[in-house]
Amino acid sequence: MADIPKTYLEGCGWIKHGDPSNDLVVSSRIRLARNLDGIPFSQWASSSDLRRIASQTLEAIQACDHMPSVQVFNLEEMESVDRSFLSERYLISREFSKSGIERYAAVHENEIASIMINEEDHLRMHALFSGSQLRRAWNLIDAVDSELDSRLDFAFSNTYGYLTACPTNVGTGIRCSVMVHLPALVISRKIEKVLNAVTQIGLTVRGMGGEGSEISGNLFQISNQWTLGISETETIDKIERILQQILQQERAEEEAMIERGRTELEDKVWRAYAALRYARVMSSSEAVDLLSTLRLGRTLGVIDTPAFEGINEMLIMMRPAHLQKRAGRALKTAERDEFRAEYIREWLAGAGTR
Amino acid sequence: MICEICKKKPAKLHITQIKDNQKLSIHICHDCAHENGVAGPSINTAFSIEDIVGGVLKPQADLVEQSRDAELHQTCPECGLSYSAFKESGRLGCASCYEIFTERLRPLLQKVQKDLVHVGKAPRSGDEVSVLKRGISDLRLQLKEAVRQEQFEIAARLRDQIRDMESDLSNITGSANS
Ligand SMILES: [Zn+2]
Ligand SMILES: [Zn+2]
Repeated sequence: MADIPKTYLEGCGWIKHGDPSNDLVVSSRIRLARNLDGIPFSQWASSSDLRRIASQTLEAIQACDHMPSVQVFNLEEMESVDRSFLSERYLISREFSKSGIERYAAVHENEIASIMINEEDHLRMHALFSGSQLRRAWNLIDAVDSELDSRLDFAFSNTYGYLTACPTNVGTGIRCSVMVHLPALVISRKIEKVLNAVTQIGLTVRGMGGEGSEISGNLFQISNQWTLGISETETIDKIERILQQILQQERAEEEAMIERGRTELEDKVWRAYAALRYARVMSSSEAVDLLSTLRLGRTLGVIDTPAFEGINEMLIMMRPAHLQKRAGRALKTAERDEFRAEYIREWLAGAGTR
Repeated sequence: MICEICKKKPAKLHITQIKDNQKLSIHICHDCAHENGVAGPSINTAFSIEDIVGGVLKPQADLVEQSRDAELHQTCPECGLSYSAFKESGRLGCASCYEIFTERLRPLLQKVQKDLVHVGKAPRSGDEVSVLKRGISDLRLQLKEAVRQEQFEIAARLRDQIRDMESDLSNITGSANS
C-alpha cells in the first residue's frame, strides 16, 4: 500500500497518454476540489474526522470504474523520498508530500488521474495528459467526479457552488493548467509583455522550476484564477483561446530567430546536445536549460532526435527522488549530479535507435 | 403598499425606530399594529420593530438569531472557526462558514472571482433530496440578506418557502427511513 511500484521507475505513465509529440505544449492538467458535507475542511478537522473522510472517500474511489486498478498510497507510512517521488511526477502536490496524518493518494493505473485525500480540501482530484489535451482531461475528471458524487455527499450551495477551504477555489473548484515551452519569446525578451496580458483576464502564469519555483527551462504554466461565475467549459475555452494566441506569438519569434542566423542557432543546439551526451557531472538546473535548448532544436528542425516524449520524461526522471529510487539508496547532491549525467548519457545514446 | 406582517391589508402605519445606530422601519396595517401593541387598546410603549419582525420570522427566528449572534462574535457555530482565524490562515473551517461569514466574504470574492453566483456543474442534479437541501440553504442566504436590508416582506415570503421545502424534505427523508 505504500511502496512505489517497480514500473514507476522505468518511466512516467501519463507522459505516454494524450499527445506526447506536441513540441510546445508539454502537458494539460485539470484539477477539481471537493469536500464532504457536514465535516470540517481537512485543516481544521479532528483526527477522527480525517479518518472518516479517508475511509468514506477511499471506498468510493475503489469502486470507481474510471479509476481502474487504482494504486493507493498511504503517505503516513511512506518515506520522505517516496513522497517526493510522487510529487516530482505531479501525482501529488509538493505541499501534500510533506508529512501529515490520514493523507492518501489514489492513482489511476496509467497515472493519468490521481486523487489526493485530506489535502487542503477533502478531495483534490486531477487528470493529466501530454500535449494540449484540456478537453480530454476534463472528460476524464468529470466522469470520475460524477461517479464519486453518486456515492458521496459533496458540500455545495446553489449560490457559491462547490464549497472549498479557500474562497479562491469556490464554485467549480476547477484549476485547468497547461505547461508550455516558450524559448523564443524568452530569448527575444517579449515574454513579459505577453504574460502580463494574460494575467489581466482571470488567468495566471508562473514559471516552472526544476526544484524551486523560479522560471527555468523556459517552461511556463498557464492556469485559470476564476472559479466562481464561470463554468468549467467556459474556463477551458478561455485558456485554449489564450494558449493559441501565445503559441502564435512564439512561432513568429521562432521564425524571426531563424532569419537572424541559423548557424548560431545550430551551434547552440549541438553544443547543448554534446554536453548532455558526454558530460560527467550535471546539475538539475543545467540539465533543465540544456534540455530546453535541445527541445528548441527539435522544434526548429535543427536536430531530429530525441523525441519530445523522451525530453518530457527526462525532465521528470532526472529529479532527485527519481534518481535516488533508481539508485536504490540516498544520494548526496554531488553524487546525484554524477548519476544524473550518467542517466542522461545512457538515455541519449539509446535515443537514436528508438 | 400592503402590510408587511399579514401581507393582506393595506399598510396604514409607517414606523421607524433607531436602535444601536441602525434605522429600522416597517409598514403595517391597523389590525397588526393593535395585535403587536404598536397602537390601539393594548398599546405597548416598549415595543420594538425587531420583536415584531422576530414574530414574523418566528419559525426561522432561531436561525436569524443564530446568524446575528454569530456575526457579532464572528464564529462559525458548526466548526468554531473565528473570522480572524480565517483572515490569518486564508482557509475557511467548514461548508457552513460560507453561510455564516457570507457578508464579509462577498467583497473578498468580488475581488478574486468573476462573479458571485456559481455557474457550472452541480452534484446529483437528478436527486430530489440534494436539490431540496441545496434550495433551502440558498433561500437561507437570501433570507439573511433580506433581513439585513430590512426587506421584511421578502423575508417573510422566503421564510414560508423555506418552511414548505423543509416539510417536503422531511416527508421524503421520513418515508425513506421508515
Ligand atoms: Zn396587517
Ligand atoms: Zn464553519
